[in-house]
Amino acid sequence: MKVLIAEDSSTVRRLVAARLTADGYDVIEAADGEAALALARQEHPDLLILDKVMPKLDGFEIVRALREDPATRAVPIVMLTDRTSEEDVLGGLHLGVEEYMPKPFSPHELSARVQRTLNRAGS
Amino acid sequence: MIFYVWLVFGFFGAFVIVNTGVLLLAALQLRRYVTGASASGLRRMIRSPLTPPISVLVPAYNEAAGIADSVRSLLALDYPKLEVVVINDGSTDHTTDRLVDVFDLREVRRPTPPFLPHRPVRAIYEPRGLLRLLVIDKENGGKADSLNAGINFAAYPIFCTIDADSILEQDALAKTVLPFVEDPHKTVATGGMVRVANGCRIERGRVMEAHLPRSRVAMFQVVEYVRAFFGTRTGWTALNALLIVSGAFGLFRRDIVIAAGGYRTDVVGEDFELVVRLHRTCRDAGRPYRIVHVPDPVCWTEAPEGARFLRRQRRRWHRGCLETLLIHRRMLLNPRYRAVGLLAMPAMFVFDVLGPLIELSGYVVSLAAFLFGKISLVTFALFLTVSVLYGLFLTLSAITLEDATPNRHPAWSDLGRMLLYALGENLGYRQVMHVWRTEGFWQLIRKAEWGAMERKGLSGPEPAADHAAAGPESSPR
Amino acid sequence: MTGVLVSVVAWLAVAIGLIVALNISNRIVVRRRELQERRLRPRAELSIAEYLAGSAAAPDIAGKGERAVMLKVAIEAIYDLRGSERARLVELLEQRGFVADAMSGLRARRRALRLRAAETLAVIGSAVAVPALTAGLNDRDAVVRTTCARTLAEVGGDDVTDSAVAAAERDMVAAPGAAAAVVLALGIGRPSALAPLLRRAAAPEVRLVAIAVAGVLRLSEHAPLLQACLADRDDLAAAAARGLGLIGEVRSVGALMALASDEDRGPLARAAAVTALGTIGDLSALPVLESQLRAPDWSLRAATTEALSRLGEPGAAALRAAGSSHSDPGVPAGAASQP
Repeated sequence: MKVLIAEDSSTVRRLVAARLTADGYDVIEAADGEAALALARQEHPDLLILDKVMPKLDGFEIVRALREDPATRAVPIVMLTDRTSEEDVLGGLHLGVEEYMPKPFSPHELSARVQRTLNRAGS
Repeated sequence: MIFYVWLVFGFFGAFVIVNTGVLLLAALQLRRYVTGASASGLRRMIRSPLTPPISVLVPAYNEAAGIADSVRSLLALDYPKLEVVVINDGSTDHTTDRLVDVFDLREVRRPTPPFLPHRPVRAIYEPRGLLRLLVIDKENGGKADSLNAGINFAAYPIFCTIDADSILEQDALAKTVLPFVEDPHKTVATGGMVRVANGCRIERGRVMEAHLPRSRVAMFQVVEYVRAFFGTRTGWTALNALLIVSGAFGLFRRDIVIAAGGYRTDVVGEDFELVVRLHRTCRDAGRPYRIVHVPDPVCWTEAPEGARFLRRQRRRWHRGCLETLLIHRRMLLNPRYRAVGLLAMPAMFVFDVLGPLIELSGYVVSLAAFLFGKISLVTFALFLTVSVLYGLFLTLSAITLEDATPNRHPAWSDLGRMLLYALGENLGYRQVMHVWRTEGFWQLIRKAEWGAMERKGLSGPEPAADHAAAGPESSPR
Repeated sequence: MTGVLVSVVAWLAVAIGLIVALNISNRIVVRRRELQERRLRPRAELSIAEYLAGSAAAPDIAGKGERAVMLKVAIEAIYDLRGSERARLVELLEQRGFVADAMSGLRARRRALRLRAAETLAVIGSAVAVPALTAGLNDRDAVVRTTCARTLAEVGGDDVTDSAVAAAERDMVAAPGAAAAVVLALGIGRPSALAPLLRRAAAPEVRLVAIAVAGVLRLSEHAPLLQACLADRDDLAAAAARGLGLIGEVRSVGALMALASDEDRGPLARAAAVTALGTIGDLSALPVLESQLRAPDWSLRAATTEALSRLGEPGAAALRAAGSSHSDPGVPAGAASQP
């Protein structure tokens, strides 16, 4: 299973990548919004993990762009972000984000949620 | 004649002392800022539930083209809680329609709060969804008038003024609000740094890549802005005598501004006038306060590239400067107003208002003296050299200070260009600015004829690149 | 004359030369540091990430540069982590001596170093550092003191709570934002410790912050104390009303109604009470709110309109009735702000 992680903090990105790799996923990393969108369209990952606040392109804008493109419309998205106000969460869910993982987070838990989301999407 | 020579020397001496002093203060202030700032501290503030929410006020006149992008990028800023209030100042294009379309707004009926006076509101629009956006459609009244309307409707205790075509960096709001968080009672207003956006790659209302501009006129302004922000404003902050919080990017305490009466609609430099009035009202009320310039956060703005537009802008700034100083002339050399009245305002009057006149006349007189054989060629040349070198010294110092702010990674080639233009700025550009400022001075004298022309919307006949009524004050040399 | 000018030119030239040299050397230093970090960072990130994921052993860190980068990366990671991974990383930092380094950093001569050490310990949040942090409460600098207090509030035992509370009180005037952060940390880590700061004996500046924290964190255990603050001066009462609204304390509705209709109180406090009544949503407040629709102060009327619009159909009915008999800018006709 291929997972794309888009996060501008290289530390967090590496943490998530190591955890997911150890759990058997194929991980692609993107450091900013533009790269994330390009890689999503190119690599067709099975799931995306996005931060909301990123340079160049906002997390929400990426979700919107992906949902508008028929090729990527169905990709499940998990938002990993410290923006957890009511607007942020509801806004994201409205756009089609499957899961919200607030920061500070536990990589273990994130991996479990990834698994659960993929199971749900698969069935 | 002798009197004149002494005047010029006295002027130059005072200039050197004051500017060098301010520069040293700027260096100290910058060091204090850099040691205090920490990345985790900023993130902690962003995540803290105690961080104050901000109302971002965006006065807009005929901005249909870029307004949606601007609003979207403001809503996406890295700040926990903010609302965007767009005040459509009677635009003749479809600014409001565009917003209603893009953000799915509907018209609501809300009473106009009575705190500050302004031209009547025609309609209010709110989003159907969860966005924190408010659009005020009102009759044309100018930028100050629009801001007053925005302040009336603003929901939060702190408001941010920003031009419709300016772009804030993601963390700019957080960094600029820090002084408010550090001292909520004393802090009354803060301002950040304005940088020239010409030459940057901008998409969808965000700066993707920062580059120095290609255009010469814009490059000169880059250098000018650095000297004004890092040399001057940071320094005056240390004495709590900051006179200008740029209208292009400033944060204010809403209740204090309302108590002071809001923006004046009958002046050219409304942002400058408000800050001076804030100093005045806080001192008069005996209220401990501070107005802080934060050196790090960045707001990108388009600088005029054509000489004609630049000239218009500078004349306007100078008119605004002089006008405000005249309005508040009671504060000049008045010990009640401490550093603002005793140092900052007189310094501005002498160096920014009289300075261009003295310097220009100095060139003319010394040239005449040389031509009439009163002084030797060598003396004349040395005289000019001293003037150029001191200006260069100030500019280069400011550039060095700017490099000390965290997270700036300028390339070597950029440094080379900056140094070159720093030289050029002192060797002609500044002198041209002096001429234009003097023109502004004359314009104010003939104010009656010009009064009618100014109130035609935000930018009126001037292009959108002409904002912030009070720009960075460049020292005369 | 010429001589004077020549020497001035010479001095200026020297000064300019020095500035340019300073600029260039500064850039070189910064550039070198950046390059070093760019070189060392990926390795540090990878080793920490793999250690926490369980795919590698604990990283061995030697060399000053490596240690500095490792600490920087670890701090960034800790900041965003929670749970067992966070605990493991903190333990790693303790074992490798980073916490000890920071503890001795708290005794440095330069303020900048002490500040950095305190901030580092604050993010790491290691209980091992408690003795050093307690000593740090007496630091010369207010920000260092409050940073230590904040950390103690999070990781210290019951014995240090009082010192943290005292630090918040002492520095509330000198460093209000930092002291507020201490109160927030107390509210998150030891909510019961806020009680003394909410009582009348505490200074008003501290009380204001404590009230705000109790409200924002929705600490219902302090609702009775908040209710007592409603009788205090207006800014405290307003904050307390806001807090009670956030908590949703139905038992305080009576006191809030009394405040809202008390004409001897200022509009700030009364408007806050009205808003709280709207948030809590108890319909017994309806009559009081209706009467405030005719209050002399605009803010009060506007707050009342907003509050009534949140009380469902009965509130809407009250607004309609008022709208039909008033043409008041504070009361929009027909409860127009209803969705």
